[in-house]
Amino acid sequence: MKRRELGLLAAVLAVVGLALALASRAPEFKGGAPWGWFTAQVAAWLGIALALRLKRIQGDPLLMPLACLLSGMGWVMVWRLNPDLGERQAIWILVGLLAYAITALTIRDYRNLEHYKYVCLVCGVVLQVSVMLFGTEINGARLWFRVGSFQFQPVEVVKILMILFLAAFLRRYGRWMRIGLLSREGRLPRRALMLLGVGWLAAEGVLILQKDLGMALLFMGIFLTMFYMATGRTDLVVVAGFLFVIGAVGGLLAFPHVRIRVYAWLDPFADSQNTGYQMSQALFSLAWGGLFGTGLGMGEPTRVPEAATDFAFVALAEELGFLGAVAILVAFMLLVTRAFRVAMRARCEFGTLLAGGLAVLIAWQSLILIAGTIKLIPMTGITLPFVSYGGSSMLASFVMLALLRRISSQEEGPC
Amino acid sequence: MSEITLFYAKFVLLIGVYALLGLLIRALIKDIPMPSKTSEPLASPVSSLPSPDSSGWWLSVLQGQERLEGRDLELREELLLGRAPECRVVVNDPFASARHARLVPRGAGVWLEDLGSTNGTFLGAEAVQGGVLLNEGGRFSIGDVTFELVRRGNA
Amino acid sequence: MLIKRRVRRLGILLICLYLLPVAQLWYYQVLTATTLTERPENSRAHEDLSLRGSLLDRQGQVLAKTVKDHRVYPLGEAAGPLIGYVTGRLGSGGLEGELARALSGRPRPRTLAQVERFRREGSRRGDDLVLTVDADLQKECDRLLGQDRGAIVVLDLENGDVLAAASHPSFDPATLERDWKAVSTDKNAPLIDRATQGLYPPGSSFKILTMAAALESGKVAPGEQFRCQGSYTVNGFTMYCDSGAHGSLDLTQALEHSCNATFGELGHRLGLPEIESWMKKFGLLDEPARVPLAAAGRAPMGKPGHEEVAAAEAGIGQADMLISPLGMARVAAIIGRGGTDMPPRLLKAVSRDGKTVDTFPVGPPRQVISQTTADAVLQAMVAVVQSGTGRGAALEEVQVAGKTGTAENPHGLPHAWFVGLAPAEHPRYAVAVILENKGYGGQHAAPLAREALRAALSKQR
Repeated sequence: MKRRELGLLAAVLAVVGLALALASRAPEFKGGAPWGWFTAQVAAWLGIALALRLKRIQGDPLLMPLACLLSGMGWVMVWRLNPDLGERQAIWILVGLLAYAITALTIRDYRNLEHYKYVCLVCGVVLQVSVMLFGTEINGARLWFRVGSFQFQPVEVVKILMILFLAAFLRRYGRWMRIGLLSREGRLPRRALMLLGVGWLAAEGVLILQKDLGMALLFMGIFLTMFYMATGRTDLVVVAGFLFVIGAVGGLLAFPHVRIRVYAWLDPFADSQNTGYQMSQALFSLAWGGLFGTGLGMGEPTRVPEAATDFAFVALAEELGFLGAVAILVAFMLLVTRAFRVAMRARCEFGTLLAGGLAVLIAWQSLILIAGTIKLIPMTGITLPFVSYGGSSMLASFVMLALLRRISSQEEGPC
Repeated sequence: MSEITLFYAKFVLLIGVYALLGLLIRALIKDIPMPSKTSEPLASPVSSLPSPDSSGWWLSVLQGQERLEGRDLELREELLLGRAPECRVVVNDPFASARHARLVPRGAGVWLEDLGSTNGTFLGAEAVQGGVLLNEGGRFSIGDVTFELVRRGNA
Repeated sequence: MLIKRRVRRLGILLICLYLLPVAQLWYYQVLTATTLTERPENSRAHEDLSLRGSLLDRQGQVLAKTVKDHRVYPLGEAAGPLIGYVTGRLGSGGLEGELARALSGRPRPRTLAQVERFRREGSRRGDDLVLTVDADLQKECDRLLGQDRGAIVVLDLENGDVLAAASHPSFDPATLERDWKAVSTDKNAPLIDRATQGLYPPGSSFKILTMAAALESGKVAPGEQFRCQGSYTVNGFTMYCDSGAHGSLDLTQALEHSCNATFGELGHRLGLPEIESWMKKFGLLDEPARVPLAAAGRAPMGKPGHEEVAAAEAGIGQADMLISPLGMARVAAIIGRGGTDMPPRLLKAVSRDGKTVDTFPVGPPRQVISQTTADAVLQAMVAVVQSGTGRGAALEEVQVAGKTGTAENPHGLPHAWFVGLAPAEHPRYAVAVILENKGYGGQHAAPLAREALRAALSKQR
């Protein structure tokens, strides 16, 4: 099984190399293709896969090739859009791979993480609250810590901490939340209601205090899907989801910053030179790509503002066309499928919930972002895992990958 | 390079990407028939040995383990449930302890006793403390496997 | 294990959700890609500006052309709203946007069929489009408008050609990208071409149509005498003449003095449906097919139960009808041609590498009213300029015919109108002038119409 991982990785890297060669025709490439950085990545991917194999850390052999495909294509596109960002992105991928290796090698038994659930909770809350209070506001949303030129988006870490906490907490108490709202004894499932209440408040808090619709959606999505996984309480999930929608609509009406995005979503051409500019440019970019794309390096994706971060997917869709965009979507689908498979095969409930939570995170995050950039839902400010430019996001994605790898490697062991 | 050459180059990349996806999907499909960790199906020989003068209690798996569903087991004597192979009913569920619980038919009912399992034996949402006497139609669950007690008339 | 069952269910659901973006991408990248690409806001569509064709006036003077990779507009502000713009960032608008398909050079090959053609033909420059506009006359009309908001349209009666279509306030397409914020947020809307797209109440200038309709439909006898007592009352609603009672007068005198009482009565006699059908016959209610982007006018509707009042108001060009300056010039042209309509034309020909490859057709001529009726209205219009409200439009050497208008509107002072023809004996040019919220048409619009006609006549084509 492990033999396949190295082979698949090599094949993926070969395609990424081809993409890089083609993309180097872009006018933004002045000094030729960054083959040095590419070689470094090839070495890192293959080296780490080999090291894990030698250390006999088994695990799902498709996770790394899929992540490699996504991060590789994303990197080529970011470089093609902006070589400076591309260079930093290459560094981030290498740092992410390092984090991946460290996480995969140091966590002997992922089940130990369960004991740290309240540590995770406290760290997550502290990070989240402090960024709300002391963070730097960019584009109307307060999501970053800034030290010098270095920006850090704590929410990326908070997501993982939240999933760790929820997996442990729901493993412990999920059973007691499965009973009906008014069970035969007339007892309310207080824990369930409290947890739901806290989750709802947190999501709305993110929406109102940070004015970030995307993050609130993501929080609520992960929270409710994990709650459903552990308890099967469709009724409570529906009620909480409904309450969230009410709160979100209220938030939309209250904040002009969010409202503008909604208007730009409903009709980007109504104000195509100001508020609707980004969205209409994104649609033109998609249309320009057509079925087969303009070819890497031959389109004009730089016309879309924030192409390298929020609209990296649109840039890929323009230059690789509908077919290329679908290929990226399929890669995400495969990654999510594999993550769910890890959850299905985990030997204990904590593993199932943790892997399931990570799978849900990757799925929601990619879906919300992609849907936002192609006018399925209003534009949100979250990143595309592995693909779009961003250090915190890249690091978090690789840590998630390592956790999945670790859980899948323990499928066979005792519980 | 002329525009035409560049135009065709993009198809090469698309074909490469899709070939790659094909490889990945093939690897994924190969894995799908999950190597099920084989455990003994629920007491297979029993059904072939119907005893006409038994007390008439049967154990049936309602849900949770497809392989066992619909294959009822007659309760004629004390019966052990758990993950360990020596149990009469091997519950293939991560939340099951090795020796999880036991059932003892007692004429009018069936005594269910939790053998100090880690994750508990449940009647609905309530964990069984020690033991409990179940009547006909009584349901209990171990992990996510739910059992039901059925009484069938003597032949 | 139930939990795994739920995990599987969730997994399948989430993976199916990925089909939504796939469907959406199919919609934007394949189904509607062409429509999106051709949207005027989209600057990618005509990205290769160096291949874009020129816009030329009727004599071949350049109105818009590409130098290296950006557009130059020799007329600047004088033709901004008419010509429109194309820039890298803003995309395009006006004629530049509307005619993009013809003007833009062939884009990079994007389908296999295009590649084949590309291989055969190589890159090709877009077509040049020849407009009917006369650059000098356009500049003169723009100069005449000065600082006022309004528009001037000049038509050539021979073929319906739009010789000039000036609109103020204006903008310079060459610097639009820099000025965008100010121009796009200006409440006076400089981007709109008032000459063809501006819709206004026509006021008394509409009386030439009322008169023609009433005569043609037999609602009034040619020699019929009216008694103006300074007002006309329908169903308790009274409309007044500005200058008191005109006394006894015939139709010609009524037009000469712009008698509201008489024309109110004519409108009342015609009724709303007939007024609408006459507007239709004069081509006012359809978008002129050969003038891109031009707006269709709107017939008077009136409030339910007050149709008779509305009809009387419509007789003097008030009510709730709207007509563009181009539309009013067309009405005048029909009178001047002895009752024949020629659809206005703004596009003259397509030329490639200096050779004309296609010509847009003229006509066909269409008889709207009889020669007799048209002559009667024309004579009345001569009287307006000779001795009536339109004396400000009179030229020394040539007889001008015309009609003033002072259109009440909810935005302030009335709009000043003048529609005219020259020379009256054998009309060659029709003109329509509107100055928004400027006051009396005879005082403000008539002199501009005179100068525009003088300029048109002096061209000696």
